Amino acid sequence: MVRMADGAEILVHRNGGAPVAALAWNAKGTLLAFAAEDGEAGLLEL
Amino acid sequence: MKEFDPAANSASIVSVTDRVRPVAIGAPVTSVHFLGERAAFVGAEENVFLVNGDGAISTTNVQSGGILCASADGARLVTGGDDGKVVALDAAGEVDLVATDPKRRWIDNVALHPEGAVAWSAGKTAFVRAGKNEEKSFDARSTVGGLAFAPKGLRLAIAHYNGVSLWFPNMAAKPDVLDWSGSHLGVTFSPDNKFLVTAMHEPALHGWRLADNRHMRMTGYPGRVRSMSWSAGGKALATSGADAVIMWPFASKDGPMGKEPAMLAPLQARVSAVACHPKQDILAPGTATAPC
Repeated sequence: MVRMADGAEILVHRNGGAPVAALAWNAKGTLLAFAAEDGEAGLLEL
Repeated sequence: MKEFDPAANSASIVSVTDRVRPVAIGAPVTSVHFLGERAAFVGAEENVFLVNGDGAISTTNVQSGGILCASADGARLVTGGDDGKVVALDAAGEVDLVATDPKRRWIDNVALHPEGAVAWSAGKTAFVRAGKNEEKSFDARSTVGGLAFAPKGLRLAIAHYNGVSLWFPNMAAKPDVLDWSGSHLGVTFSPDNKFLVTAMHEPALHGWRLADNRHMRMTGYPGRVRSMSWSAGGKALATSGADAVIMWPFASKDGPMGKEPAMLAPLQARVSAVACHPKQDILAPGTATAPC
């Protein structure tokens, strides 16, 4: 995740190989979902 | 995590990797959307995987072959496939067949209108269905590369070779055409309905200010832009395609005309996907090797 104001970063996931193909937030902005092309996926609750 | 809180004065990047709930989809994934509180991971073939907050996976069959496109609005996820079908999935997991192409052509693109209409394309033809009405169609001048509904009114942007057609399906008038040489693929309206932006086959975006059709060339990418996301309030458009997130400013009436983009999070790898937080000025980039 990156804060737009200053570019500060937080690492959510370090994937092994396949590129990240998919990212989405829920409408409230409390959940982040991500998936690599190979199906390795995760959910982060804020 | 309650708020975005990177440690100040720290040389290393803060990590929340231990707070991520891993989900093993077990099949290639092309996109993810939220349906209610469940994440809907769209597989490359046949299935959508609905995942709840506990990480439990419910596999739902939507197409009988490859899934070529998907679009969602929080309540519905609509997919198109190489079986010639347009299929809608709701938050309860119910599957509904929207349309079957009479010639069983591949459904290359889908788009959703906030008030319920669905658009899709097969080859050069774009279709719109609103409610239970019969679908309407429009033949573009070349293969449709992308579809997007305007945020207001029933107006569909159809990206194709050498430009974009803006079609009002409920009006007899010919579509307006926005010309620009090259192949236009992804297309998106700014949330304030003032700008239209396409991602091109070449590594560039092209934009138009809709009030006067002024052009905006957004170039300089080392790779093709496959992912675009509007920041909260539509103040900026975040894009993939470089070794940093490229953010084009759209807060002023001139949009990015004559301005340089901001570059966020210089990464060690090509950015492959971006998603802006819906309310805060935070974004999530994913890369080809190490997202953050």
